[in-house]
Amino acid sequence: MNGETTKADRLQALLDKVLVNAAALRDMRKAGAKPPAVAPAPVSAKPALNAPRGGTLEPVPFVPERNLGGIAEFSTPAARPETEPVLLVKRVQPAPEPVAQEAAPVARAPVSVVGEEFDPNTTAELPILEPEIEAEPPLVLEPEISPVEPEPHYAGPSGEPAPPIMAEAEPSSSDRRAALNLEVPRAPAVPFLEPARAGDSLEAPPLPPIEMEVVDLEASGEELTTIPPSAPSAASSPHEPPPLELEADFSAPAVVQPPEADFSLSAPPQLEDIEAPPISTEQERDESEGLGVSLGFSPQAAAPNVEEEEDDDERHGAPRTPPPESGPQVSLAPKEPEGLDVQTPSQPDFRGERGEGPTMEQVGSTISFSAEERVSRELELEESAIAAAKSAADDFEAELPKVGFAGAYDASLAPPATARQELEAHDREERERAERRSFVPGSGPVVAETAIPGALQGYPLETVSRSPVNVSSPAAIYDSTRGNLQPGSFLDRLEASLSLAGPSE
Amino acid sequence: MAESFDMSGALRFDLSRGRVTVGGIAARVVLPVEALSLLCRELPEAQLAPFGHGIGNELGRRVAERLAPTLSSTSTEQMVDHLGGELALMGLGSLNVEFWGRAMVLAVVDSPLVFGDGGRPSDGGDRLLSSVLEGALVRATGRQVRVVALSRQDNTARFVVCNESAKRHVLEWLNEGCHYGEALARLNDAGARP
Repeated sequence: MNGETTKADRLQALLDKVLVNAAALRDMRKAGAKPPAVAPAPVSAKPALNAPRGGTLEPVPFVPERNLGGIAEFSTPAARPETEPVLLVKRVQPAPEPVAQEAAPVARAPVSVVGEEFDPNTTAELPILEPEIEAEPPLVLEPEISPVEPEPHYAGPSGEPAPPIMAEAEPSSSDRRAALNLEVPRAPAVPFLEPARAGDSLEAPPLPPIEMEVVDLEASGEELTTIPPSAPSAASSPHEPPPLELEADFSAPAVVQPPEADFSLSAPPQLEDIEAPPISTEQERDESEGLGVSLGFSPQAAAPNVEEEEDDDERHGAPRTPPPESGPQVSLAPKEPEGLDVQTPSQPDFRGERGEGPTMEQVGSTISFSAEERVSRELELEESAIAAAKSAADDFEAELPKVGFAGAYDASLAPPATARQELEAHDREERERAERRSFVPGSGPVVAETAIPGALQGYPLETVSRSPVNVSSPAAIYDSTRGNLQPGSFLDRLEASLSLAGPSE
Repeated sequence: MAESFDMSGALRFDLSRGRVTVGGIAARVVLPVEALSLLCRELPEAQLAPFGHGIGNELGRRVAERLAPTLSSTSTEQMVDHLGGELALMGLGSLNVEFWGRAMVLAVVDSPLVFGDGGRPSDGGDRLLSSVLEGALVRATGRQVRVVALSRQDNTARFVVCNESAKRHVLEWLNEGCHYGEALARLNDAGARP
């Protein structure tokens, strides 16, 4: 009981000291003095055993762990002296506020006050100032887009200038948008094709009013006439000749009927029957114009093309397809060979007025024969040229032997002029070859003297030949193993091996 | 005449007792090659040779038991048959005998005793094997023979059987970088001298 009282008294005394220290610290803060700099305690540091008792605020020096007694002290809990108050140790720990303030600037945003430098560690009361945050640089309201010149023709949506992205990205600023609308010029107005954009004023331009005038025909007294379908085109081209009246038979195949065309399946026209007056006559010209009008093109402009096509057909033998941009063309029927008069009903007959062959326009520059020349128009080849061609063909053909002479020797054939000389040369070479075979080995090189015809005759020809190979002797000699190995016991061979390199020890 | 080597029932595994015997008498121990390799690396040359001789003596003793009555008339084939059979029972490889001139060369094929790079005769496995062969020949024939490792080529280790002076010469030639074939040729030339 006495011991408990003593301990309680001690605790009370310590508590009083703590309160006194706390009051002293509070007074120091009020006086504006900075709290003493306390070294941050290391994370692994143990409680400072050498801390002075009594709760003083002196800095606790850092004590390395190796001076604290070694690992054994960590393995077992150190015996705490009873006199050391637990509460005092907790109070002696550095106040967390300065430590937190030292660590805070790392993450705290710098606050810049004009004219002063604010120290976050100071606890002095400062006038609460609303920090003026430096405003961000003003946005560039004018887009860096070159003014688009109004285009004379609308090029579609792709030709429209790109919408300002910066202005659309800031929809909250209505002023900027308004300024943008004023500054950016626009493409030429095509109201019905221009895509709508956010922020644009979508006021469509008013359409021009259509003025309609009601005319009372009965009151005006004009006659009501029915306008044929071809009237607008005729009215649009008053200079063209009046259209042809075509009677269309829809039951029959569609055939373009030229004026005064002959659809009768008549006999093929003979060339003699064609009386081709020159095209320069007035009648032909009118007909050609009428044909051209009915097909919708001007014959004056198309006449050269027709002539060129005819020339090409004559040269290449194939019709040419006119380019599509040249409009409807006169499609000429291919020239049919004489003797074949197959006329399909779907093809128009442009044989002209008389139905006796192509017209002079289609034929082109045709030389007209006189009546006398028409009689003899056959091509006649000279007989000499035909004979020359036939003889030239016979040179490359060999006549087969006749039946009676197949495989027989023709005694009339003479041998070639050099046959005898070649035969003598062959016999001479055979004789020399036989002499070489009969030569005895080792007798030395062969010297052959032959009579050379011509300029070298009289001089001996010396030929050095290689000595003949004596095939009876072997080309190489293989020596057998030098050791005189005789089959014996293992011990004999072992002794032989042990006897190598001198006597064994 | 000695009979051919009969391996049937030579090696017996008594699993109930945990014993391995050769011919039912001599006890054997099955060891991993890695352990033997480690032992050969650690042992110096002076101690490795007696270790191999001990293995070879037991091997040669068994051969001598069978071939002693007719040893003088034992052919090379019979010796190779018995000596190679005992070597195979120990798992040391297959034995062949080559004669390079008068020099006897023992060729061991597929020997697991390759402890080094295997390309040099100084390999620990070849040195152990040469000691085993040397001890076996000494025990089987009663001659003072020396076995020198020549080379290991294509999984075949070659050893020359010679005397002590020839061993020194062969080792000297091999250390000079001489090919084992040339060393054998020199050995034959030296043996031909009076």
